[in-house]
Amino acid sequence: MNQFFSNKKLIILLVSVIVVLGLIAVSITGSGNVPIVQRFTNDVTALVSRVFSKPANGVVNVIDSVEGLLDTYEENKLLKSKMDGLYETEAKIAALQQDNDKMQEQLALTETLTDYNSINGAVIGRNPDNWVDQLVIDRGSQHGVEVDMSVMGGNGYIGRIVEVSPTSSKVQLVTTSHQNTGRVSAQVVTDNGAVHGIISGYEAETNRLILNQIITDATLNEGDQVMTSGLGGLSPSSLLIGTIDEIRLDSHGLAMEAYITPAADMNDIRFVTIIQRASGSGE
Amino acid sequence: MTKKSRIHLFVPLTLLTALLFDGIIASVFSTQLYTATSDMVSRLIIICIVLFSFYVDRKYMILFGILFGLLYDSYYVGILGLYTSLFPIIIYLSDKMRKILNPNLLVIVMILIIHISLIETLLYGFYSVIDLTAIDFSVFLANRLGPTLLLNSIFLLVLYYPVKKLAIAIMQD
Repeated sequence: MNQFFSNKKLIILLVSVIVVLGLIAVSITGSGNVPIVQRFTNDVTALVSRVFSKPANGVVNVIDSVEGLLDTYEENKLLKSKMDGLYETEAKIAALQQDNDKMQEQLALTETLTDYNSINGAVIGRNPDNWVDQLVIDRGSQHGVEVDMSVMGGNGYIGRIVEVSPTSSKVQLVTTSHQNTGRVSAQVVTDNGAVHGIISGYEAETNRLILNQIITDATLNEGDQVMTSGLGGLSPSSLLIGTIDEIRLDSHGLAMEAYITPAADMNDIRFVTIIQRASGSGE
Repeated sequence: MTKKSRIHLFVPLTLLTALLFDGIIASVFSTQLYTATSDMVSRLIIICIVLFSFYVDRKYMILFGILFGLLYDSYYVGILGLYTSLFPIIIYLSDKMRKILNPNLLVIVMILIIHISLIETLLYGFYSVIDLTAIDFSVFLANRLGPTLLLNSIFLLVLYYPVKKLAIAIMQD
């Protein structure tokens, strides 16, 4: 036996391997409600992190606004052309909303799947090793955030809350290739009614989400909008996920799968909206 | 200020700053760092750990390694035990190398390359085992390890003198 593995060292090594494996096992199987020590540490770290991330975000915002100024002319032209249609749609929506309210009153519906409250927050950090796409945001259980709430960034759905501390929480992006969690029940509203499927993957090379388990006789078109359906019990319905880019049969030939261009930019996320579903989460 | 209190104050402060800056760099420059064909992971904390372990005593560094490993796991990853075991391993290896090598820039760059390759490969192994990634080893080498080594070598060139000066200032009697 050489000196490297003298008895004491061997025992220390063994014990630490066992401790580490135990820690890994406990934290993988955990449900997102972390121990109080960990919550406290995360919050203190998040607090310090805010000192650095506020100026960083400020600088980026200044750069963005300068870039925005340069594009103003083009953008203005585009917006003007869209403006005309907008008034008409607005009037129509107001009328529909009124109709909808009346009908809901008649049916005595108080909560529907579309109702939600939102909490706004800022991103204060991102998991640097990109194996698990996770963001740290500056809102926590004190602001009403809970595990499994949906998170929107920019224009579309980006992920869900996986861990909550009093003043900070972790968001797992939908781009994480996690096998069990992170699946989202989605729907495509077509002329013939809604078509349902499940977002269950991400293709990094082309930056597209994969919507599968779609029935084969559904008629989908490229460019159709994909939204959450709310039937998974966690998210409210009609949060925009993206638009269909490509449709094909899946590898078994039993169902269709669609490739979706996400509405939110999955890489450039600085501000998020946390969506709190109004009707019971069905747990 | 005694040497011991300087170690207890400045080493953790630097490591904490490095840890937080890793996260901020990742979130602010994510469009540039994480593209379809390359994932560059900022590893400022490992650069600082490697540099410090050439000057500061091993017993302190192992302790800080475990503490900041736990913090990294808790704050970013959510799986305790990954970096908690990786940081002490690289500190131990650095300490072994320190006895036979002179800490000049070239040597440190090479040691950093070895350590980051080791960490990334172990992490890749771990995440493939628990099914969080499905990429091939060759894809990992080309898209992840290569760009990460490049990015961190550049970071090291910037950080080498300031952190080295700090380490020497901490350790002087």
